Amino acid sequence: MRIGPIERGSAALGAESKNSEQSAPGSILPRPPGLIVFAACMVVIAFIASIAAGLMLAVRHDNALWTDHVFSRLTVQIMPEGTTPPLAEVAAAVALLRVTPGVASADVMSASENAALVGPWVRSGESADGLPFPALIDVKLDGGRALDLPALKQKLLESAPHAVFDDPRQAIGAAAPLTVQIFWMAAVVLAVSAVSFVLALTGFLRGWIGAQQHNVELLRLLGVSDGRIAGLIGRIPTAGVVLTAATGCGLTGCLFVLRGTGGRFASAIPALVPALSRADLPWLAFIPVGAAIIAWVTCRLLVWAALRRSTV
Amino acid sequence: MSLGQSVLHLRNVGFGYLRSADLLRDVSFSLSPGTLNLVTGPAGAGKSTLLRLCDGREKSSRGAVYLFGTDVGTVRAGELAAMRRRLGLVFQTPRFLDHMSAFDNVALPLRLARKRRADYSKDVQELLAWAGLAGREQQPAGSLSASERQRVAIARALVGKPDLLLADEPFANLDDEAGQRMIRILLNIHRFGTTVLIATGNSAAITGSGGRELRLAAGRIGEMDIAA
Repeated sequence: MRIGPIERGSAALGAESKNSEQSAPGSILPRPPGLIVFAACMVVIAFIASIAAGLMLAVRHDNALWTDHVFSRLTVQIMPEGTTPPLAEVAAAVALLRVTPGVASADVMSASENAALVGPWVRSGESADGLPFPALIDVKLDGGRALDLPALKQKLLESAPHAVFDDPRQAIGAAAPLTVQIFWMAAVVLAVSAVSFVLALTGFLRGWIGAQQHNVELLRLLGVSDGRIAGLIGRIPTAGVVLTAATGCGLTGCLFVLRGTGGRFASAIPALVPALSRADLPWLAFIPVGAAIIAWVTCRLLVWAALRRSTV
Repeated sequence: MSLGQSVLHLRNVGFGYLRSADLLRDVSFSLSPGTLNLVTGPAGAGKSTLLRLCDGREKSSRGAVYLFGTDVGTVRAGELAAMRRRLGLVFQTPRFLDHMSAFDNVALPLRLARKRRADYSKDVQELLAWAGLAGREQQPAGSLSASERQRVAIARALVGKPDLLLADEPFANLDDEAGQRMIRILLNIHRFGTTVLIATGNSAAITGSGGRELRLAAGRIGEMDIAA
């Protein structure tokens, strides 16, 4: 650009000129004050939100496990008469169970399966053969059809008087509402974390936008569009939110993994942190991603609201 | 002169602040490309308000302000931003991003236009030297003297090669020596194709400039040529 003659100072361009060409320009808007405190808050909120999300994933996983392996099964024992269970009663019980509505299958467990069950209680080198062991019938229930358990019990005792019901659902069933409560409690904590995040972000941004009013007006007078101004203002907080939320989630993810390994570190981790499978860990990425989207939208809305009030 | 030919065209513009008599009444004039124009008048005559109407900071209560052929009063925000990018603005009290150096403030319009630093660095250095600020490039804008700030503001207004330079009392904060230099710069800038509109209460400064004087008195404009 040659607007006019360089009247003086040409010789002085030396060192300063080189510095200006080499040094990277700073950010157009200054770094917000209180950014460190805000970042620390974000890490804490992300940490709490991640634990809540992890709890929801773990409880959902446990619920599915219980439904598949506990609530959909029961065991019928035909107690031994002497050293062996009466085979006629075993056959009658299996036949009855297989035609009962609500029962998907009924199979007598094999001798090897029985041996595997009692194995831990038998000294090494000794055999479980000859022990008075009941015949175990593994009953899988058809989840889609209701089972009239009292009627089945009565019929079963009529055809197999040595039959005993082993229904784990009654014992474990009491814990089922608890898992639902934990799930929803974690959901509430997650929602409260999200609200706290929005409130903290809004307070932080409003303070900063207010402090930047002078600079924002100058940018507008220089012909910068409102969208770009919103981008300039939102860049640092949004990047900060992504970074801090990722940090908080990363910390929690490490705890989940350590807890899941069951190694010597697992016992040192508070019981609040559940063991989470590695397959579930990617779900935690939704927290920094969601936080970034919320931060971006919040920032745009606040900046546009501020620009609408601006007189420039 | 038609709307399309004029850089700035005011047609019967009236303006008054709330609960006060009209500051401007039926103001009409046009600026041709590459001309030097000076708005003069006593303090409070409405010189600064007139410039604020031209850059879209104020809206006229009557009439219309056409900037580059477009009515500033009805234009959308995006269009106004595009029009402002063609302006060079010098405010009575210079405004800067105080955390930035003098160099970065002058280069700001180029940086906002997404130009590469390597491409504009030399031009900005030359412009700063030309404004008598060699060696002060890396000073934070907030630490500069009033005179230096005003010169940085003028350099920033010129760096983007604006089509129209609007300067509000640009000599107000300058000492005699710097003032004389800035007067020479601004009074000659139109020779390079930039239309210049300067509001000043210092009539003596413009003597012999050869431009056109728009004298504001009692809310109305009177035009006269200034001898070269």
